[in-house]
Formats: sequence, structure tokens, C-alpha cells
Amino acid sequence: MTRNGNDPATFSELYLRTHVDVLAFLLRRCASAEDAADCLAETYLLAWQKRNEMPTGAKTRPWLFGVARNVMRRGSELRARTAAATSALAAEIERSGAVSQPPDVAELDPVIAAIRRLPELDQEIVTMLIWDELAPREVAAVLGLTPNVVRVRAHRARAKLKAALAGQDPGVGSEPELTLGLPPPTG
Amino acid sequence: MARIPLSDDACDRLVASRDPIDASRLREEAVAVVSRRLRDELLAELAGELPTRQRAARGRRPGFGAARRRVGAAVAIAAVVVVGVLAMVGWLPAGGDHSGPLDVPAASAAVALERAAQVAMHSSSVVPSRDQFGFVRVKTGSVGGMGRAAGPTQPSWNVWLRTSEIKSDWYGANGSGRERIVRTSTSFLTRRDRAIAQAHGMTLPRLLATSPPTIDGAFAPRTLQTAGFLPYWQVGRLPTNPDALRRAFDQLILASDHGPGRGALMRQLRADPAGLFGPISQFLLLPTSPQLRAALFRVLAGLPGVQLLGRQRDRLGRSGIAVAVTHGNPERVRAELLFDPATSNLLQTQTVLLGNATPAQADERSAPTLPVGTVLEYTDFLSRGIVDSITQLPGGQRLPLKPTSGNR
Repeated sequence: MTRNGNDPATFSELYLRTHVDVLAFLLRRCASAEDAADCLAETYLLAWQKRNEMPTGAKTRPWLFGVARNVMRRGSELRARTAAATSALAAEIERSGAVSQPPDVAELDPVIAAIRRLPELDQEIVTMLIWDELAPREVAAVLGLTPNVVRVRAHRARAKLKAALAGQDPGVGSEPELTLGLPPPTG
Repeated sequence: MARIPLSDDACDRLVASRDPIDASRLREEAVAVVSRRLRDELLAELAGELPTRQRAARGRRPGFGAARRRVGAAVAIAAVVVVGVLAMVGWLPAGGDHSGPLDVPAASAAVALERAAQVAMHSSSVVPSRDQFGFVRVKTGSVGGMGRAAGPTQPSWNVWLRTSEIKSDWYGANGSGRERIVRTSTSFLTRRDRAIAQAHGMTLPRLLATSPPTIDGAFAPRTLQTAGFLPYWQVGRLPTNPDALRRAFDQLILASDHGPGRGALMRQLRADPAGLFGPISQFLLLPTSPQLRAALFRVLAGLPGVQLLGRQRDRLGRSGIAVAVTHGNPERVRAELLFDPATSNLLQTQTVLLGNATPAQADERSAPTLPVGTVLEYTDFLSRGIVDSITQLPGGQRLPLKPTSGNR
């Protein structure tokens, strides 16, 4: 990035344009809002350090997701200087009700349970496609796969989910159906 | 139990319904506020990664400075009438891209300055006790306009000179002390200035013939001034609560309406509070308590329009965090301050011209219009310490005061 690509104003614009999506991505995958806020800070610090590699346009968002995913996997190296701000953000996220599914409910939810029974990579593909609304080629960019592999694995994962969730009412989909008989794990 | 097959779409809707995050709530104002706060923290954290404007525009041709008052009693030229000793300082050896407005969030500067305040609060005190003096040495640069007033048979003319000086001050707690200014270099600002001077039979040595290269003087209690708008003994009495300090500045500025005139600076400050940035920067160079230094940083953070420029280097190659404010009318200038985030020590101050003086002013001076982007003045911090007398330097060396060198 150059003028407008290398200055504080550009960093600010990038952050404002993308941070909600990146934060949501992290909140879906981190154990707590605090962890997600820490990873968010780390993601942007790391992204800025790698700004010469940052693609432009529509590719920026999945690239940031990829950075965020790497931060999550290796663990945020929380910087003390942003600790106050990340804690404040985490507290406000919890107050906002943006995280709508308490972990204990998620444990009992058959849909969540079915997703968790998928291989880890397939879980990532399915949730990126549906929750983060990434296109297959964007998921491929985040995961370092080819789009074709993403499509194939998504197809297989959906088949497993359909098998697991047969009988679920897709129209409401709000209250967990605790009496649903789940199939054995498919590995 | 009977199972009803799901379509792909139904399956996707089921999964989507379990999205644990409601992203729309992350866009609500309360979350957005703290998100922006994190952004500001990150901007401050990244200050070291952000490019310096000096580097970005290296090679740009330095230009004239704009006119500003410069107090220089020593700059009296016998054969030449000083049409205006104008405080324009400087040129930026490395150039400088100062052409565009800065759109960095003001909160970023506030974060950087708050950190500086916290560091300052834990710094060691450099306040002189009774019978001691706080020593400060800086390097300054300036451009002064010199020329001849129009006579019955000759037109007026004016040239710009570039001067750099080393300034040493010994500040006594009671306002006594010593000021020593050593001119280290003077030159025509441009070849055009040299040509104008030569056309009127003037050379640089002749222009400087009656300007002593060194000014050195001792000051009685309560008479040693600072580069801000207060004598040193009053600086030491400023409140250390940031709100009280800002009120004190406001009261001092307002009081200048009723008391003895404090000059153009106070009139400017009444009209434009952001102009406090410059004097406060100068106060930060003085030997003061950690509490006052912290309060000064916090008052700076509260001035309207203070912005973060990021990490920059000064003329001596030292790296620091730069903040700035734009102010002034009709001359729009950007006052900049560079500090070491590790120590909170000021490294450099400078003022950059963003808008030219009014045409009427320029005509009056018969001077070339001064280009936008010119660095008007700078001060580079060199050293500071506590000494026992006005003839002592930090480290124990002596620097006698020569009585013939211009006591004031």
C-alpha cells in the first residue's frame, strides 16, 4: 500500500471498515470475548506489520481473517499497552448481547453438536461459508486451500450435517431440540 | 423416530440460525466507541511502524520561512535598517512533506500524550533547589528578514538570512539565572537573497558586522524569561492538576487584557487556544517537576485539534513520537513536538507554515511570498542538568560569564 496505504489514516480506515467482521470472526471461535478482543488487537498489529503483503479490494477481508486465524492458533501475544482497551471492548461486547449463545446451551444444541462432530477443517469451512459469509474462494484463501478443495469438502460436510440433522425444523431453528436422536459420529 | 431429509438450503439455514454472534450489535454505538478506543491504542502502538513525513518527502526543496516575530536584540545592523526581524525559522535539512492536512484521529495523539504524561510522572525531578540552577542547552534555527527601508532616492529591499544558534540557560528557582546564545552559522536563505544583497552592495559579513556572535548575560531574581509566555519563577508555581493548569493558562491569557501588555503572543492565544501548544512545548523543555511535566502533557492532549504524526526522527537522528496542532490566522501554521516515549523528554519542536501571510503583509515587507511547507522554527533539545552556579556546566566544567559579552 502506498499514500493512503502507509499512513495512520489508512490504518484507521482499514480498521473501521473491517474490524466488526474480524471481531465477529474471532468471537465465533474464541473461548471468551476477552480472548477475541486480544486477538483482534494482535491481528491488526500483525496485519500492519505485513501490510506490504496485504491484498487490496475484496481480498483484504479474507486476508485479515487468515491473519486472525493464525493469531488464534498460536495464541495472542497480548500487549500490555492495549490491555485496558481490549478489556473495555470485551466488557462492552458482553453488555451488548452480541454473543447470543452461552457455551452450556451450545453444548446441548444438536446443530452445534453436529457441526462439532465434523472434522476440524470441515467445521472451519462450514462456519466460514455460512456464519462469516465468505465465498468458497475466500475460504480457500483463509485456509490456504484451493477453491475446489473447499467446495468438495463443503459438499461432504453438508451431507454429514444433513444426515445428522434430518428431522430438524429449518424454519425456526431457534430452540434446541433436545430429544432429537443424533446419529453416531461419522468422523 | 422418523427422519425428514433436509435440503441443502434448509441445512444451511439451520446452521446459520446457530450463529453465536449477532454482528449487528457489534455495530452499535456503545461497542463502536470502545472499538475506536482500541484503534487509537493500536495507532499509538504502531507509531513506530508508521512512516515519517520527512522520509516520505526527502529531497523536497526547502523554501522560505513565513514571517513571525523573533526577538533578537542583538541583530542590529548599523548600515542597514532591520525592516523586520521575523521569526521564521528554519528550513528542514531533510525536506518535509507538509502539504496536506493530517487526518489522523485526535484521540490517537491524546493516547500518546497520556502515555508521555505517565512516563513523565515517574521521571526523576530536575527542579533546582535553592542556590541551584537548572541547566538546559538547545539548538535553534531561525530565518530573519533584513533589509533597508525606502529612502528619498532608493527603494527598499529585503533578504532572508538563515541562522542557527546554541542556547544555554541556567534557571534559578527564584527566577535569576543566565542566558548564553552562540551563533553557529548564518547564511543567505537562497541564492536570490545573496544576489539581492550583492546588488545593494551588501555581503554577509557586512550584514552581520554589528551582530555579536555570542550573547551572554546574567539575570536578577524574577527576570529570566522563558520561550513561553511566563518567566521561569512563575512556571515553577503553575498548578500540577491538568484542569487547574489549563484554567491557569486561560486566566493568564485573559488577565493580559487588563494588565500590562504581554505582546502579540498573548493576543494570539486569546483568539486561538490551540496556540498554547507552542508555549507548552517550551515549558516542557524547562527544568520542572515530574508532576508539572505530566500535567503539561495532559493539557496538550486536551487542546483542540492535536494530532498524532507517528514516529519521526529529529535533525540529530533521534527517534521519537511526534504530535502536532494546526492553528493561526492569517498565517496557518502547524506546531509539532517530538518526544522520546521512553523518557518523555522533548527532543524537538518546530513550526511549519501551512498558509501564507496575507498579501498586504507580504507587500509591506517587500519580501517574497513564503511557500507552504516551510519549517518556520525549530528547537532541538541537547542536554539538561542541575548545577550549583551560573558558571558551571553539568559534569563540573566551568563556563565563565564574560562581562563584555552582552549582559542584558
